[in-house]
Amino acid sequence: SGIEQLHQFLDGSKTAKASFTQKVISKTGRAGQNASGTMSFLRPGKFRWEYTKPYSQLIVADGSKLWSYDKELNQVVIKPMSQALGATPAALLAGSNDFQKNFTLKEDGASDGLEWVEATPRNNEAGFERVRIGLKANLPQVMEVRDNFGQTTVLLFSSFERNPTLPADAFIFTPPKGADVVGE
Amino acid sequence: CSPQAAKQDLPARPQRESIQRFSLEARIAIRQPGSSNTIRMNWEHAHNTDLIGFAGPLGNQLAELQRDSLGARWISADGERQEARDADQLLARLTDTPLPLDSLALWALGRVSDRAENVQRDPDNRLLLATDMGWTLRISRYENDTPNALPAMLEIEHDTLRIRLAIEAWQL
Repeated sequence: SGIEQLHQFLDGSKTAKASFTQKVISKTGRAGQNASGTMSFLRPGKFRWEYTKPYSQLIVADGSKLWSYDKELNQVVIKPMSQALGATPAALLAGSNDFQKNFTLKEDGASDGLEWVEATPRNNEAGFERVRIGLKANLPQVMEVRDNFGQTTVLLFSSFERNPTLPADAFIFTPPKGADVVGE
Repeated sequence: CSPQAAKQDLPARPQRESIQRFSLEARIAIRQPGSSNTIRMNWEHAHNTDLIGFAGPLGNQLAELQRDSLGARWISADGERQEARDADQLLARLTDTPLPLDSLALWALGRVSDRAENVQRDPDNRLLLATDMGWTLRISRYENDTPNALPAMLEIEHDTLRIRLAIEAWQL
């Protein structure tokens, strides 16, 4: 079942790596641009989310701070992790695996080869309404996060690797010379 | 390749003075003492209505600003709502200084008000630099090199507040 696959994934992957494409569909049904890139995480709380197309932006959570660097805007923003993560697929994937504590899970059927789970946050400060996760071979293939504004962020994963060895500095970020570094 | 859509397949643009409604997707770097930030902006603008979504770098929507003839409303992700007569005050939740939304709609298109000073233009008469309504405006890149091209990288500054806008996509 979807829930079993989710638990297998959460319990069975200390680290993971994947490519993704992200599409945001606004409340008025307008699809925004596709963005794509790669992500990796080390549970709990460390992840690297890198957009390479159409813009280049790197977001690194090192366990205590969240660094986001936008190359074109040449700015690095540092934020405490608690405040910045909120309702993001990254936080769900890389969070501590007591998923059950923060979400009520519901089977949401099977379609196009995936078994789906619907996760609804237990408290309403999570900043989103619900997330649907489509899994196959105990790995998430699709995540749909529907926020409180009726906007849906759809993430399609590919070449998902479970427990790859990751570079030692995967979750360390050093601001490039000349970039504006702002934030706490 | 260029960060936005490949340059050749962009539609021919109308005269910028004729554009009454647009929607754009942009990343904004806000630099000001205390609360600097990089956020995503999804802006649907028409004559006197605006709908702007502000999202975090991972796409999670943080707040929404709505403006119409009745006034302006700011709704945060945690459901908090604030109303005001005009949107500029509400934008101060983001930028500490009220941001002139109507002027921003003009500047984003590469236009300035008729009271702008030391206006500099490029050989195609496209705006490069100006001081308008007390703000310094700089356009450092256009989406391509046609005379009607729309801005792709814009910077506005006022006292200690500097906002940089990387506009990824336009829809007219």
